Amino acid sequence: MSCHRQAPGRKTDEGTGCMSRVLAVRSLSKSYGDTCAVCGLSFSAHRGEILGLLGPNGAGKTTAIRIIMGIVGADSGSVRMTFDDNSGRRDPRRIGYLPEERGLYEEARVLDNLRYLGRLRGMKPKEAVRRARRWLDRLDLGGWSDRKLQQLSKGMQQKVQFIAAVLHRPDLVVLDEPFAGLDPINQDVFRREIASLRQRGMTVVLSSHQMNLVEELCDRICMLHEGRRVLYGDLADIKRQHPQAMVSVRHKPGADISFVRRFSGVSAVESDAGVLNFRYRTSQGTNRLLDELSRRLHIDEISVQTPPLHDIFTSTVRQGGEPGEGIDTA
Amino acid sequence: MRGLIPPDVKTVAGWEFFNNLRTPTFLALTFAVPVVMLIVGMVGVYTQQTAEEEVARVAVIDETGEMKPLLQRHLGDYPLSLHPVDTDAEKTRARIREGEFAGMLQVDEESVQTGLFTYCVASVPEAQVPAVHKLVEVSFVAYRLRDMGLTRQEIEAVTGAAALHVTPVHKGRDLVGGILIPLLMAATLVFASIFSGQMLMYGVIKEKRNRIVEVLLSSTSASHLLWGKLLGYGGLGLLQVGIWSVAAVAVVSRFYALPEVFPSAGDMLIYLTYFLGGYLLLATVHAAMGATMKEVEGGSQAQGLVVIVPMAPVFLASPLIMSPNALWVRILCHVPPFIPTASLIRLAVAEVPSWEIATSLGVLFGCCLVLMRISSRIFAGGMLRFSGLGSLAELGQLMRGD
Repeated sequence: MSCHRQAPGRKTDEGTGCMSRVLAVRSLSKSYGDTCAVCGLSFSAHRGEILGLLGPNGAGKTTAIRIIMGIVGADSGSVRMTFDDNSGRRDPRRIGYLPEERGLYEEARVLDNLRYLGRLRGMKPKEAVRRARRWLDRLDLGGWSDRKLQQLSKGMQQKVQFIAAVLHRPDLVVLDEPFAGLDPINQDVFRREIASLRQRGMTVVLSSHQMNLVEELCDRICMLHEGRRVLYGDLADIKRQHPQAMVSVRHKPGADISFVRRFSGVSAVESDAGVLNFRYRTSQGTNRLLDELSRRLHIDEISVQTPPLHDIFTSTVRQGGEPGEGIDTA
Repeated sequence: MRGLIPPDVKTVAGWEFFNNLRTPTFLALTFAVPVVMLIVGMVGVYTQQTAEEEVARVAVIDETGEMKPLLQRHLGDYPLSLHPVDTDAEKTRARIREGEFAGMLQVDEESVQTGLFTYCVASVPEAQVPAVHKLVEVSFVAYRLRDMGLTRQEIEAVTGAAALHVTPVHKGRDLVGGILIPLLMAATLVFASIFSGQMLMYGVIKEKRNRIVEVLLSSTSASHLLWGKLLGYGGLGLLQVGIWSVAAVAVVSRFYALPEVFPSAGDMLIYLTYFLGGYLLLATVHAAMGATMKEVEGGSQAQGLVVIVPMAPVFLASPLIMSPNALWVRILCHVPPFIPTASLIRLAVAEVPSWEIATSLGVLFGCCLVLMRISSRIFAGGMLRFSGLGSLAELGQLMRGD
């Protein structure tokens, strides 16, 4: 039995101290003609965690998600879901889905939309309406429940779609680009709600291009490039093991910093008013860099930080899915 | 019923039924169409009656002086009034042009020799040409008989009109009850199945355009979604037929005793079974078509092609009604796309052997099952192709379930 380490403050299986696996994707492949959209993809998601499914456009995320949701079939591989019944089967009543291609019945009332989709997920009509009203109130849409969907703004419609995905209290929620097209205020609302899903013990698979939000929300990530997995594991581990660190030095102004540009492993040097920022390949060893900096500059403050996820994402994609050694921490 | 239909199929069917019940399209088709048809029918009847009742003023130029009294004597109930005029044809033509007469009948020596009379008219439809023809025919026979030396009594005995008493043997009912009403019912069922199929297709295209289809397909399988839609729209079709039938009963009952003009319960069951088969046949094709379409406009063009084939027997209705048990009609009633329409028309006008009903229904529902399997595959594959189908090869891929 594989055991994923417990993240602080999160629920574990009784007695084992392990987080139980809710979703297990194994060697999934899907081709369209000669193009391999998903090539041997494997990953898992555990109870009460948020797993980020990342990748550039066309990486195969949506195809993978559609296979997971049972909307399209895989050429090979398996998707196993483990809920209370341990059957391993995909049960629509236990999963929620916010697709990238969003849409509801525009000519129907908001509440009718939610009741219908709730019923399709196995809810009783009254229960669906009761929970829908509660969610609408929570997301400041209480006054819009009897309006036709087409009367709502795009952001409001997206909230309704989000409610439809979580109304039936699923064990697993797949959110494909939930922040796309939202203003910063609504992004905050969604970020808060997604975090609260984790608090309620739901497993969230989150696909997004908003790296700052992914970094803030996700416990683990699985990054795809051209259908293949190129990064996978705890976000903190991935960042720690990334071969490039971000170095920031505050020094006495006027010093000659040209030696830094010539230093092996240094890139993206920026200097302004006594603050020097650059990236440094950690495999070169940090001691020699620190020695050289302290010898040549009068340093007031120095920090060496793991790079933001955005940098890891872009550098991985630019290098054609080759992030460096030891990044896959699964 | 509870165990027969999966809950998600029932949910989809219920949604499609109640959600579309209030749409302008359904309301218009259900309530406006019968009203329009009623108005058109009433206008037709009124126009026909008016045309029949209108008496044409006919100027008569009789150079022989012998035909005029005969024409007058045999005038009877013909919608004509005869007006002797002088022999100046040009002047009379001018009066016709002015609208004083509908036409001018010319009788001269040559006419009574050859039997060829000239009827000069301003407008053929308004000149009661058939009535003039019959009147001239009868009068000329009388003229010849008199010429042969028969007395007036003998002539009347020979030319006395024969009456034709029409006794329908068809199902013991008359023209209205035996043919017209069943034909109207057949047409109603065919139209209802076409309307329902059309609404289903537009609904599917709309779901693709709305992008809700991905959420639906993550909640239920494509085949269950298709089944739910077929049931929902089928229910709408039945409701539509029900409303039309109630309206028809209300109208017909004012003129006829209902048991005499309406089919028996057994016949109605057969009609409804054909309706169901026809609806399933059309609706599955429409659903699959909708799944491969990108826009409603494309759908309406393709829909025309799908509708024209099952409607083809309507264009053959006249020969079909004249010879409902001919071999070609029997064959037509066993060719799947034509079965519902051809069989409903045939059932309306003839006694059809039970075994033929059974075999044609068997072929129809067998074809529906095969079609539904193929349509399910196309539906499942096509629903997520938001750009529509690019080629026939892609359609082939969908049919194979690739």
